[in-house]
Amino acid sequence: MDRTMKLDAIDPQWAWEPWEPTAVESWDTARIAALYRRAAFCASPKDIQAAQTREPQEVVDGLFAEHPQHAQFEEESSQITSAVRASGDIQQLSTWWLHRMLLHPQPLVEKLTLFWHGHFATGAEKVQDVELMLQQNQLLREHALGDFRTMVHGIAKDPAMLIYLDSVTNRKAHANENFARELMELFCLGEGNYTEQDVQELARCFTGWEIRRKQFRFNRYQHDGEAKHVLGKQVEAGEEAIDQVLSSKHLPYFITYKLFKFFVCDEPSPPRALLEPLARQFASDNLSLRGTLRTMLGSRLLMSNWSAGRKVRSPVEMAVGMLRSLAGTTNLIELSRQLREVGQAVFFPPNVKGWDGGRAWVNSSTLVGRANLVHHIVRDENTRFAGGELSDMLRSYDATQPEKMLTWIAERFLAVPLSTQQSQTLLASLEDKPAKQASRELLSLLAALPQFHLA
Amino acid sequence: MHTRSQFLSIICFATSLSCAWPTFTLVAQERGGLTQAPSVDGGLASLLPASTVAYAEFSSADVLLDHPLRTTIQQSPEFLKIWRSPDVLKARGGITLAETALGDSLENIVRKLTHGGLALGVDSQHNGIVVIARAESAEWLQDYLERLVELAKKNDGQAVETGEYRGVTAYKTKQAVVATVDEYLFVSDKKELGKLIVDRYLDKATRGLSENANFAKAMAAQPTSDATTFAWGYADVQKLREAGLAKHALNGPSDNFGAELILGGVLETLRDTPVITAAWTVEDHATQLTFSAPHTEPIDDRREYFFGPDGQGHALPLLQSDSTLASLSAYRDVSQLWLRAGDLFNEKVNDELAQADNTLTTLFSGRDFGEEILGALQPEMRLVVERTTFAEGAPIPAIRLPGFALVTQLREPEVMRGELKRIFQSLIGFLNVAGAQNGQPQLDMNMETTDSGQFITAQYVPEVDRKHNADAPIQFNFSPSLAFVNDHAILSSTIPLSKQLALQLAQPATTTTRGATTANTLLEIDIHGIQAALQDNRGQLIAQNMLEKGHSRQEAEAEIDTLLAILPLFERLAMQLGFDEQAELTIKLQIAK
Repeated sequence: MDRTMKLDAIDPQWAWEPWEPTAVESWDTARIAALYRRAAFCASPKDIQAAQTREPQEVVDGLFAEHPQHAQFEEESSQITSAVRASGDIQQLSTWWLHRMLLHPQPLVEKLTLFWHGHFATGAEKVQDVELMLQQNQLLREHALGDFRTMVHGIAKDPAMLIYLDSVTNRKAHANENFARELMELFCLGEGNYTEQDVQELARCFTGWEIRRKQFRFNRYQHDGEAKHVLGKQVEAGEEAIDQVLSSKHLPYFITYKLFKFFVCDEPSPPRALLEPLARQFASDNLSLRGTLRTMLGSRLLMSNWSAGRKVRSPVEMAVGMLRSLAGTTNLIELSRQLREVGQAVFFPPNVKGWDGGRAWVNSSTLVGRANLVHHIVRDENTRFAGGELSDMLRSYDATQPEKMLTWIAERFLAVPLSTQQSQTLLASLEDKPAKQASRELLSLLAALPQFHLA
Repeated sequence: MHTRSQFLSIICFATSLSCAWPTFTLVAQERGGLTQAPSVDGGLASLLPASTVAYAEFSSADVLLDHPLRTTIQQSPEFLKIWRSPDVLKARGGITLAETALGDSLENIVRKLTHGGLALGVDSQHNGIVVIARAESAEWLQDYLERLVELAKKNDGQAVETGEYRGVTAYKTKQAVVATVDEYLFVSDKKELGKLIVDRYLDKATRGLSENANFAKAMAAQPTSDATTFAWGYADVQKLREAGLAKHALNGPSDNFGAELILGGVLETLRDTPVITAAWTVEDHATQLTFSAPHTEPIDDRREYFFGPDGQGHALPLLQSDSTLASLSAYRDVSQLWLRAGDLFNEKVNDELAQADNTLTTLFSGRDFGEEILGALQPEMRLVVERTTFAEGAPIPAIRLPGFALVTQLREPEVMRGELKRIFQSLIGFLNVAGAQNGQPQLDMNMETTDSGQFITAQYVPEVDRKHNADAPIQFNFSPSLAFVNDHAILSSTIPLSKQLALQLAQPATTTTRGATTANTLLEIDIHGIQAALQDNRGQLIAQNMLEKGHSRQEAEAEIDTLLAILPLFERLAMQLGFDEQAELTIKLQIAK
């Protein structure tokens, strides 16, 4: 497919058909890496190795399947969860999640949880409660691949969300419109697909919904029992009103649009016609996410050369992706602090709209910050690759010389190839340096190039 | 003198020989006609010039290598695990190769090389360092060095220049010069200094460093050495001060309130003393390090808070609880320190203290914090830290913090009891209001009078459905308490600790008697207790290790378990700081039996 083809020229039926290898587009290391860049936080060397022996659509299916090491990982992670919970330290939450993103055997779930965290954005600096933030995060994770309807119902009664939206109290005498507005504008329908009257009526449905002692409570004495009309239908209870919002014809387009922007391409915005097959599938699946996501991630559009480099990596995707692709581990407390510096502290989104994403991640100042972030990771004495030195890890893949190191890393981590001149400049600066130093410096140098920041 | 030893330095030296030989520089041969070893009558120190500013001597490494602790460590499962780990096996492979080339084990080389002791000197005139070792025999030393030079040459072909000085063959590399004469090995980073040492040896010089008046005084003041002393050191602080070392720390206003409170007296001593000496003794079940520095000037008034009037400020005996982790007792007139802050601290600290003074004065019902509140406390302070235990059925926090109690005596008990009681109540009220705003557990207050004293206590109330919670919030480590026993006040983080201490203080025993010790500061740490407290939090430590070091759970467990296994090798760490005619700091590490 022509890489320069515009989105509105792409045939929607063709776009969402499962991708198959062709004479031009083969199922090789670079393509496996490309799939994992989008669907996970990059492929680990083991992921690549395993995928090479399987059919492309089998590998996509594998991303959705529970990994054999799932239970073991969850047991390990629960030890950290207990420690974070016991510490009560709100900053430690980011560290806990980074650990999951980096080491979870089914990274698609963590990547989707990150997506939903940006979608149902809730900031820990306001909630100030580790337990409630963890509870919300688990809710998002539990339904990340599942039923959107259940997730929205859960979020509507989630203490962290209601605290964040100043909605711990909602009295019939003065209905709080915050959650009602965000439910339609940010969470389900998007701007222009509801009226101000709908917001006011929906807010009345949520009267009596309160948070007391960190738990949801329905105060029947504060519920407005009068007739309410939301999106053209009379509704009574809050739950019924949520179902009415979820039944809107705009919802499947809004959600698939956001998923498209997150997984496929930052810009331009996809035409409605391109999203139509996905939206139809999402609606016919009764708002179950799994099928639609499976279609999107295994699609011709996402897996073809067309999509390469059409996403700007968020700081988390960049840092975690780099480590995952090199079997790396590091000081996650320090990494969490560094990510905060470059604008993506998970659990601390900038506002209720979440992170803007796309081009907003890069400007002259953040580019320097992002390069510094990579430099910090590489320089940190706790950073190890496959438990040791990066050069040793690369040697195990026969990448002993700087040129081979560069090829090995670029094939797995970069969505857009380096120019000959870029490669030569990089290699010249590594000349005569010992392998240990050269390999780490190579990562720092790569971070200064634009390709490093694209997915 | 030459019966004293070297130990730590010997190990370091030997390590450098084995690990860094590609760059090792110095080797020496016995000079041609010298067969009779000249005597070193004045000890190894006599070979060093009078301009030496720091000197240390050590006895044979046998003292350490034959210590029972070594066997205990070597037999411990954690050591064996590390010893057999791939990284160590790799390093051991390298050592074995070197041992083969040298014809002896590293341990034997260390033993033989340090057989007659080792000395280390830093010379101000040449700005250089010299190491002198007295080996088992001239023949062995000669053979060993020849093998070492060969090995160094084979390893990286680095140039080892050979020269001769007064008939002594010397070797030179980029880093050092080495020569041997008889059974003595001389190593220096400065060629001229190396020559000077050889001269002094060949010329049978007897005085050397002992010509230095400060060194002579230090030698005279040291206790008679015995078989347990394996290291002794000396530093000419006067010269180091004159060279501008730590000028700001010793003379300028302090920028750290805590450091001044803990170490103010030590800094005062360092400002005036001409020398510091250190002695290290090793016994089967303890090792002790003692630093001494004579006072030569009258104590500065500004630090009377530390030394007491006429230098007579002494700590009270240490207090203990059933499961003490650490106990501290010190003489510190905190009120005087607070009021003298203008003389002792820089502007920034003074501004912060002025701000704190205002806040605390408000908190203490408008009473002047420095003058009236701190001034109401006697200068003898005691602190006890213990491993917290929890009653059966009580909520147990996921992170178990140690309890602590501050014990002091009140100058005007009748007045201050009521005042402190009100402040404590206000504080608990404040914590409850702040906690309620954040959904935190609430404190329930009580008052109780027993035979031992009066207690004002507060306990966190468990949530209705979480009484037997084994994963309770961190707050459940605390049950704050204020107790009054005779003229003592005990401010404790837990009720059981305050009750235990109250029982002790109610007894007419030496624990409350002034003059029972002559130390200014006493500290004891129960290492077994520390290990148990860490064990209580093993899960948390492992999780923290995983996040901080990027370790897998297995790696984190191995690291934490190694730490937990090493600690019980030691039983107790004690520190004592005393000031009479000389400041003396003693640190004693008791090894587990």
